[in-house]
Amino acid sequence: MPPRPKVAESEIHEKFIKGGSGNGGQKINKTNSKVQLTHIPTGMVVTSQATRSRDQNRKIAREILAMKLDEIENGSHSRAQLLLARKQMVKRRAKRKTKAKYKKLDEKKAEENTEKRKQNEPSDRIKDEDEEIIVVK
Amino acid sequence: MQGLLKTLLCALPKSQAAQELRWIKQELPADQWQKAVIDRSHLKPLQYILGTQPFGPLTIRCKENVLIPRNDTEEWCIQLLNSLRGRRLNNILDYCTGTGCIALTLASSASSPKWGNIVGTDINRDAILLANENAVLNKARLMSIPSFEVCDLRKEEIPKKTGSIAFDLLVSNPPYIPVENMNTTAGVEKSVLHYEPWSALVGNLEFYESLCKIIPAIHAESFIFELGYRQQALAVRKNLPDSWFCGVKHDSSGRIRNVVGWRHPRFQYLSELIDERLS
Repeated sequence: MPPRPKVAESEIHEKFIKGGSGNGGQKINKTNSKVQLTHIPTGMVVTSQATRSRDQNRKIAREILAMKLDEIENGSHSRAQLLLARKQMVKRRAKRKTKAKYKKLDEKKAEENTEKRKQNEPSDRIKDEDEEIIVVK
Repeated sequence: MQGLLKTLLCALPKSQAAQELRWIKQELPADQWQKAVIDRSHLKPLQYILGTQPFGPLTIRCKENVLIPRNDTEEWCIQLLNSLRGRRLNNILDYCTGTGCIALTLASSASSPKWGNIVGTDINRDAILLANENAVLNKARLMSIPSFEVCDLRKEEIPKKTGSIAFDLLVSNPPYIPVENMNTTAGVEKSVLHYEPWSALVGNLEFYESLCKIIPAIHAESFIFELGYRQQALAVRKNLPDSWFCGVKHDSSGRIRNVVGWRHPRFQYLSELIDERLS
């Protein structure tokens, strides 16, 4: 797996989006802290307001930007695509395993059923005979 | 479940309500959600409900009767930290420390062990207790341990406990909303008006004049104060000796946010914080 992609700080323009009125400081108590990054060479813009912490949002926004750029640059060989491919493979493998497991179980059940039927057949016949006897009476 | 969101929507815009409900659910046990949402719909600050506010790398505990740290304060604190990185500094004094967020952020700097003592002061005893609690809470992230004590800025009281009378840097976020502006028309949020301590909000030139009087008393060589109005920066300039260099800093929304100054050229590096010089 390729390492986590990174973007050079010199290629990033960072902006803190406050929204609402132009007032700030002690007058306003904002609960969210949205971070917007612009990748200067490509003009790509990403934002993050996932957490209450600006510190965390800054890190998350950088991860998103790096991932998106890596995807454009490396396409199917990008970390995100490789991760996705692996995830799908793991899922397929798991599905195959479950399928095989249930197939086996089904086979076992079917086997057991035929055996049961074999055991039940004679008693059925007796019953039939009884019925016949009743009918005859 | 939808009832919770509906309650929040009475008081908050749609996307904010959804986001805050998510945080309430993440950070509080389920049996407290209902009360949290009702309190929030009455505009009680989210930080008083959840009990914390992230501030730079720190988690600051918040309690009623102490001002909640603001994004705008966090912003200049982090910039100040970058300017101070690797610099030699004597003691640092933080006036009107509140939760202690500024003093603690300074103490989280990897450079802070090379500095002198970091001291935070406040007129409010609750703030000093909370600041001490925050020092313990963030212990793992602190590179040095600040001390806190009660001091009245208006009486120009100087902390005694540390024994030091010389401070290289004076920082402060004093109350700066003029009383005539304590209303929604002047842009103060209802939530702030109704729930946060007015003693930490209402003030004007008098606090900056007191800070200027403290500068020579503690032999300060440099300072940075938060403010909300240009007249407050001009008052600082007026009360400083002409030999001091002084300028203002705007925040990322383009609003005037700080006044910064220094006496000796060795603090020239603070000029990277300034975007307009005052002469």
